[in-house]
Amino acid sequence: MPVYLLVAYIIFCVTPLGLAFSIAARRRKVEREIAALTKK
Amino acid sequence: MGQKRLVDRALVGASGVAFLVALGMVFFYAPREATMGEVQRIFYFHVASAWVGFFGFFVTFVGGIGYLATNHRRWDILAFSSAEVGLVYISMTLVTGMLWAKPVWGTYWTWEPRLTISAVQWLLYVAYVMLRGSVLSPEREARFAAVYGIAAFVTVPLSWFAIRWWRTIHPVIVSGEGMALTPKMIHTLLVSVAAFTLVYATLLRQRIALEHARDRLAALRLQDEAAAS
Repeated sequence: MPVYLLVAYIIFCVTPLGLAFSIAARRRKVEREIAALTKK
Repeated sequence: MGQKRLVDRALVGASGVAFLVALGMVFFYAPREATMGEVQRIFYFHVASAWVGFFGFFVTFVGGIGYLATNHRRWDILAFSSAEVGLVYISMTLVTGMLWAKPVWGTYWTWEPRLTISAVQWLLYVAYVMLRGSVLSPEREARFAAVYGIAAFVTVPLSWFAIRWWRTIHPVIVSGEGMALTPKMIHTLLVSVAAFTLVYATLLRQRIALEHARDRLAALRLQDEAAAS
Protein backbone atom coordinates (compact mmCIF):
# COMPACT_ATOMS: atom_id res chain seq x y z
CA MET A 1 0.00 0.00 0.00
CA PRO A 2 1.46 3.41 -0.93
CA VAL A 3 2.72 5.35 2.04
CA TYR A 4 0.75 8.48 0.98
CA LEU A 5 -2.50 6.52 1.14
CA LEU A 6 -1.63 5.09 4.55
CA VAL A 7 -0.68 8.50 6.00
CA ALA A 8 -3.84 10.10 4.56
CA TYR A 9 -6.12 7.50 6.16
CA ILE A 10 -4.31 7.73 9.48
CA ILE A 11 -5.06 11.49 9.35
CA PHE A 12 -8.70 10.82 8.42
CA CYS A 13 -9.13 8.48 11.39
CA VAL A 14 -7.11 10.32 14.02
CA THR A 15 -8.18 13.94 13.39
CA PRO A 16 -11.94 13.62 14.14
CA LEU A 17 -11.09 11.49 17.19
CA GLY A 18 -8.59 14.13 18.31
CA LEU A 19 -11.22 16.86 17.98
CA ALA A 20 -13.74 14.73 19.91
CA PHE A 21 -11.23 14.17 22.76
CA SER A 22 -10.29 17.84 22.78
CA ILE A 23 -13.95 18.91 23.09
CA ALA A 24 -14.58 16.29 25.81
CA ALA A 25 -11.48 17.40 27.77
CA ARG A 26 -12.46 21.09 27.58
CA ARG A 27 -16.01 20.21 28.67
CA ARG A 28 -14.78 18.13 31.62
CA LYS A 29 -12.62 21.07 32.74
CA VAL A 30 -15.58 23.47 32.56
CA GLU A 31 -17.88 20.98 34.35
CA ARG A 32 -15.31 20.62 37.16
CA GLU A 33 -15.17 24.40 37.57
CA ILE A 34 -18.98 24.56 37.60
CA ALA A 35 -19.10 21.84 40.25
CA ALA A 36 -16.52 23.68 42.37
CA LEU A 37 -18.41 26.99 42.14
CA THR A 38 -21.77 25.33 42.85
CA LYS A 39 -20.33 23.66 45.95
CA LYS A 40 -18.98 27.03 47.13
CA MET B 1 -30.84 8.17 31.04
CA GLY B 2 -31.82 11.62 29.78
CA GLN B 3 -33.10 12.03 26.24
CA LYS B 4 -30.16 14.26 25.30
CA ARG B 5 -27.64 11.68 26.46
CA LEU B 6 -29.51 8.96 24.57
CA VAL B 7 -29.39 11.03 21.35
CA ASP B 8 -25.67 11.67 21.95
CA ARG B 9 -24.94 7.96 22.36
CA ALA B 10 -27.03 7.02 19.33
CA LEU B 11 -25.20 9.63 17.23
CA VAL B 12 -21.77 8.46 18.41
CA GLY B 13 -22.70 4.84 17.66
CA ALA B 14 -24.21 5.59 14.25
CA SER B 15 -21.31 7.78 13.15
CA GLY B 16 -18.75 5.20 14.35
CA VAL B 17 -20.48 2.39 12.42
CA ALA B 18 -20.93 4.56 9.30
CA PHE B 19 -17.26 5.58 9.44
CA LEU B 20 -16.11 1.93 9.64
CA VAL B 21 -18.44 0.90 6.79
CA ALA B 22 -17.11 3.75 4.63
CA LEU B 23 -13.53 2.78 5.48
CA GLY B 24 -14.25 -0.83 4.51
CA MET B 25 -15.82 0.25 1.22
CA VAL B 26 -12.82 2.45 0.37
CA PHE B 27 -10.38 -0.46 0.71
CA PHE B 28 -12.46 -3.55 -0.16
CA TYR B 29 -15.37 -2.43 -2.36
CA ALA B 30 -14.17 0.45 -4.54
CA PRO B 31 -12.15 -0.70 -7.54
CA ARG B 32 -8.50 0.22 -8.10
CA GLU B 33 -8.36 3.25 -10.39
CA ALA B 34 -6.46 2.46 -13.62
CA THR B 35 -4.32 5.63 -13.99
CA MET B 36 -3.53 6.72 -10.42
CA GLY B 37 -3.61 3.29 -8.77
CA GLU B 38 -4.05 2.83 -5.00
CA VAL B 39 -3.39 6.48 -4.12
CA GLN B 40 -6.69 7.44 -5.80
CA ARG B 41 -8.46 5.94 -2.76
CA ILE B 42 -7.55 9.13 -0.86
CA PHE B 43 -10.20 10.80 -3.02
CA TYR B 44 -13.25 9.28 -1.18
CA PHE B 45 -12.53 10.69 2.29
CA HIS B 46 -10.86 13.80 0.84
CA VAL B 47 -14.07 14.81 -0.96
CA ALA B 48 -16.22 13.83 2.05
CA SER B 49 -13.99 15.93 4.30
CA ALA B 50 -14.21 18.93 1.95
CA TRP B 51 -18.01 18.56 1.86
CA VAL B 52 -18.20 18.62 5.67
CA GLY B 53 -15.88 21.63 5.80
CA PHE B 54 -18.02 23.52 3.29
CA PHE B 55 -21.22 22.49 5.04
CA GLY B 56 -19.76 23.56 8.38
CA PHE B 57 -18.99 27.00 6.95
CA PHE B 58 -22.49 27.16 5.49
CA VAL B 59 -23.92 26.52 8.97
CA THR B 60 -21.67 29.34 10.27
CA PHE B 61 -23.08 31.58 7.52
CA VAL B 62 -26.67 30.67 8.52
CA GLY B 63 -25.82 31.11 12.21
CA GLY B 64 -24.39 34.57 11.46
CA ILE B 65 -27.56 35.64 9.67
CA GLY B 66 -29.67 34.18 12.50
CA TYR B 67 -27.66 36.08 15.11
CA LEU B 68 -27.87 39.41 13.27
CA ALA B 69 -31.62 38.94 12.78
CA THR B 70 -32.50 37.85 16.34
CA ASN B 71 -29.53 38.78 18.55
CA HIS B 72 -29.98 35.40 20.19
CA ARG B 73 -26.88 33.71 21.65
CA ARG B 74 -28.09 30.31 20.35
CA TRP B 75 -27.25 31.35 16.76
CA ASP B 76 -23.83 32.64 17.76
CA ILE B 77 -23.03 29.35 19.47
CA LEU B 78 -24.12 27.42 16.38
CA ALA B 79 -21.99 29.60 14.08
CA PHE B 80 -18.87 29.43 16.25
CA SER B 81 -19.13 25.69 16.96
CA SER B 82 -19.66 24.85 13.30
CA ALA B 83 -16.73 27.03 12.19
CA GLU B 84 -14.39 25.18 14.54
CA VAL B 85 -15.49 21.74 13.33
CA GLY B 86 -15.49 22.92 9.68
CA LEU B 87 -11.98 24.32 10.04
CA VAL B 88 -10.64 20.99 11.31
CA TYR B 89 -12.19 19.24 8.30
CA ILE B 90 -10.86 21.78 5.80
CA SER B 91 -7.39 21.44 7.37
CA MET B 92 -7.68 17.68 6.89
CA THR B 93 -8.80 18.22 3.27
CA LEU B 94 -5.77 20.42 2.55
CA VAL B 95 -3.25 18.02 4.09
CA THR B 96 -4.68 14.89 2.43
CA GLY B 97 -5.00 16.75 -0.88
CA MET B 98 -1.27 17.44 -0.68
CA LEU B 99 -0.62 13.76 0.03
CA TRP B 100 -2.61 12.85 -3.10
CA ALA B 101 -0.96 15.57 -5.21
CA LYS B 102 2.62 14.48 -4.54
CA PRO B 103 2.48 11.11 -6.38
CA VAL B 104 -0.06 12.34 -8.98
CA TRP B 105 1.17 15.89 -9.80
CA GLY B 106 4.74 15.41 -8.64
CA THR B 107 4.43 18.23 -6.10
CA TYR B 108 2.66 18.74 -2.76
CA TRP B 109 1.43 22.22 -3.66
CA THR B 110 1.00 24.50 -6.63
CA TRP B 111 -0.51 27.98 -6.69
CA GLU B 112 -3.36 27.21 -9.06
CA PRO B 113 -6.85 28.79 -8.55
CA ARG B 114 -8.54 26.04 -6.47
CA LEU B 115 -5.59 25.52 -4.14
CA THR B 116 -4.99 29.25 -3.74
CA ILE B 117 -8.65 29.85 -2.81
CA SER B 118 -8.49 26.90 -0.38
CA ALA B 119 -5.42 28.39 1.31
CA VAL B 120 -7.11 31.81 1.61
CA GLN B 121 -10.26 30.14 2.96
CA TRP B 122 -8.26 28.22 5.58
CA LEU B 123 -6.52 31.41 6.74
CA LEU B 124 -9.84 33.30 6.92
CA TYR B 125 -11.42 30.66 9.17
CA VAL B 126 -8.30 30.34 11.33
CA ALA B 127 -8.64 34.10 11.87
CA TYR B 128 -12.37 33.64 12.65
CA VAL B 129 -11.66 31.05 15.36
CA MET B 130 -8.86 33.23 16.80
CA LEU B 131 -11.17 36.24 16.77
CA ARG B 132 -13.55 34.40 19.09
CA GLY B 133 -11.02 34.60 21.89
CA SER B 134 -10.61 38.36 21.47
CA VAL B 135 -10.89 41.03 24.12
CA LEU B 136 -14.03 42.61 22.64
CA SER B 137 -17.21 42.58 24.72
CA PRO B 138 -19.23 39.35 24.11
CA GLU B 139 -21.99 41.15 22.18
CA ARG B 140 -19.55 43.07 19.96
CA GLU B 141 -17.50 39.94 19.40
CA ALA B 142 -20.59 37.93 18.40
CA ARG B 143 -21.82 40.70 16.06
CA PHE B 144 -18.42 41.11 14.42
CA ALA B 145 -18.02 37.34 14.10
CA ALA B 146 -21.47 37.03 12.51
CA VAL B 147 -20.58 39.60 9.82
CA TYR B 148 -17.17 37.99 9.34
CA GLY B 149 -18.68 34.48 9.06
CA ILE B 150 -21.16 35.70 6.44
CA ALA B 151 -18.43 37.43 4.40
CA ALA B 152 -15.94 34.54 4.67
CA PHE B 153 -18.54 32.13 3.27
CA VAL B 154 -17.94 33.65 -0.19
CA THR B 155 -14.85 31.38 -0.37
CA VAL B 156 -17.09 28.26 -0.47
CA PRO B 157 -18.88 28.95 -3.80
CA LEU B 158 -15.62 30.46 -5.10
CA SER B 159 -13.78 27.24 -4.29
CA TRP B 160 -16.55 25.14 -5.87
CA PHE B 161 -16.60 27.17 -9.09
CA ALA B 162 -12.84 27.78 -9.31
CA ILE B 163 -12.29 24.43 -11.05
CA ARG B 164 -15.15 25.16 -13.44
CA TRP B 165 -14.48 28.82 -14.29
CA TRP B 166 -10.69 28.94 -14.52
CA ARG B 167 -7.92 26.84 -16.02
CA THR B 168 -6.84 24.55 -13.21
CA ILE B 169 -5.18 21.17 -12.77
CA HIS B 170 -7.53 20.13 -9.96
CA PRO B 171 -9.85 17.30 -11.15
CA VAL B 172 -13.56 18.07 -11.72
CA ILE B 173 -15.58 15.12 -10.43
CA VAL B 174 -19.11 16.49 -10.68
CA SER B 175 -19.79 18.32 -13.96
CA GLY B 176 -22.77 19.01 -16.21
CA GLU B 177 -22.16 15.64 -17.82
CA GLY B 178 -22.51 13.76 -14.51
CA MET B 179 -19.82 12.05 -12.43
CA ALA B 180 -16.64 10.71 -13.98
CA LEU B 181 -16.76 7.62 -11.74
CA THR B 182 -17.84 3.96 -11.92
CA PRO B 183 -21.00 2.96 -9.95
CA LYS B 184 -18.91 1.30 -7.18
CA MET B 185 -16.84 4.47 -6.84
CA ILE B 186 -20.03 6.57 -6.59
CA HIS B 187 -21.46 4.25 -3.87
CA THR B 188 -18.23 4.51 -1.88
CA LEU B 189 -18.16 8.28 -2.23
CA LEU B 190 -21.80 8.66 -1.15
CA VAL B 191 -21.35 6.40 1.90
CA SER B 192 -18.18 8.34 2.82
CA VAL B 193 -20.05 11.66 2.55
CA ALA B 194 -22.91 10.30 4.69
CA ALA B 195 -20.46 8.95 7.31
CA PHE B 196 -18.55 12.23 7.51
CA THR B 197 -21.80 14.19 7.79
CA LEU B 198 -22.84 12.01 10.73
CA VAL B 199 -19.46 12.51 12.41
CA TYR B 200 -19.83 16.27 11.83
CA ALA B 201 -23.29 16.25 13.46
CA THR B 202 -21.89 14.36 16.48
CA LEU B 203 -18.93 16.72 16.89
CA LEU B 204 -21.11 19.81 16.39
CA ARG B 205 -23.54 18.66 19.09
CA GLN B 206 -20.67 18.11 21.53
CA ARG B 207 -19.10 21.46 20.65
CA ILE B 208 -22.41 23.27 21.19
CA ALA B 209 -22.80 21.53 24.57
CA LEU B 210 -19.31 22.77 25.54
CA GLU B 211 -20.28 26.36 24.70
CA HIS B 212 -23.49 26.08 26.78
CA ALA B 213 -21.41 24.75 29.69
CA ARG B 214 -19.06 27.74 29.32
CA ASP B 215 -22.06 30.09 29.45
CA ARG B 216 -23.26 28.40 32.65
CA LEU B 217 -19.78 28.79 34.15
CA ALA B 218 -19.63 32.49 33.18
CA ALA B 219 -23.04 33.08 34.80
CA LEU B 220 -21.95 31.27 37.98
CA ARG B 221 -18.75 33.32 38.16
CA LEU B 222 -20.76 36.53 37.87
CA GLN B 223 -23.06 35.35 40.69
CA ASP B 224 -20.04 34.42 42.76
CA GLU B 225 -18.39 37.82 42.22
CA ALA B 226 -21.66 39.63 43.03
CA ALA B 227 -22.02 37.62 46.25
CA ALA B 228 -18.41 38.35 47.24
CA SER B 229 -18.70 42.15 46.74
